[in-house]
Amino acid sequence: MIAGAVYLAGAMGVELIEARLDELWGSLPFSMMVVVEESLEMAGMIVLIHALLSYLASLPQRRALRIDP
Amino acid sequence: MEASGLSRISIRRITVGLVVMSGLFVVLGIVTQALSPGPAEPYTWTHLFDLDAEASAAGVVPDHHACSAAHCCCMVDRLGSRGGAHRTFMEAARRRVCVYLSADENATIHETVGFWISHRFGRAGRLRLADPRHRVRDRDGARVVEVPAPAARRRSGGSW
Repeated sequence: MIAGAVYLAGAMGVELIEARLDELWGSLPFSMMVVVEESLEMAGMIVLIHALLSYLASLPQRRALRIDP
Repeated sequence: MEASGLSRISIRRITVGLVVMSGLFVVLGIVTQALSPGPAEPYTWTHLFDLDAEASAAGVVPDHHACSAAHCCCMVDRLGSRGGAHRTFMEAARRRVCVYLSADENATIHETVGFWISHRFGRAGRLRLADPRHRVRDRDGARVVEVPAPAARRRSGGSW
């Protein structure tokens, strides 16, 4: 849920703000908005990977894989 | 690999590694954008670290993250306890969402959708008219501002 919220905040939320500021396209403030958007997307994905790995660690070890917290 | 044949991975190390790699590309993206704002020409350093560009090193990082998340979903599906149809559907849906997000990072689907929503329902893209009597009409795909004729000319039958 947190991963999805962070990802959507970056992908859609900041994107909508960027679309409203399209007259600033090509300027430094617009570029920084793009950096914020992409950073939130990457953060959302990292949170999702962390959550999935934590869930995998809680599963009984059936195969040749051991996940340490 | 251990003597027991188990592959050991540490969640903390993986997460820290992903954060460090992403942070490095974010810092490089900020530096290159500060030096040369806006979209860059291909085959330049600015383009290489442009977070919003396609076919750039920085663009591959979120793509790689989404692929990793999809692979984790596959592992959960494989190692997790078998449940009902609901659980199977949710696992498959989550896996496909991650694969879509991976493709989306290169195809910029969500950006196109976001701009369309904003232009369709938001204020962006609308013409700001100086006079409320002016009207905007679409003619042959172009937006034309219609200005009403002054009252004196309308009475005399003059045309513009």
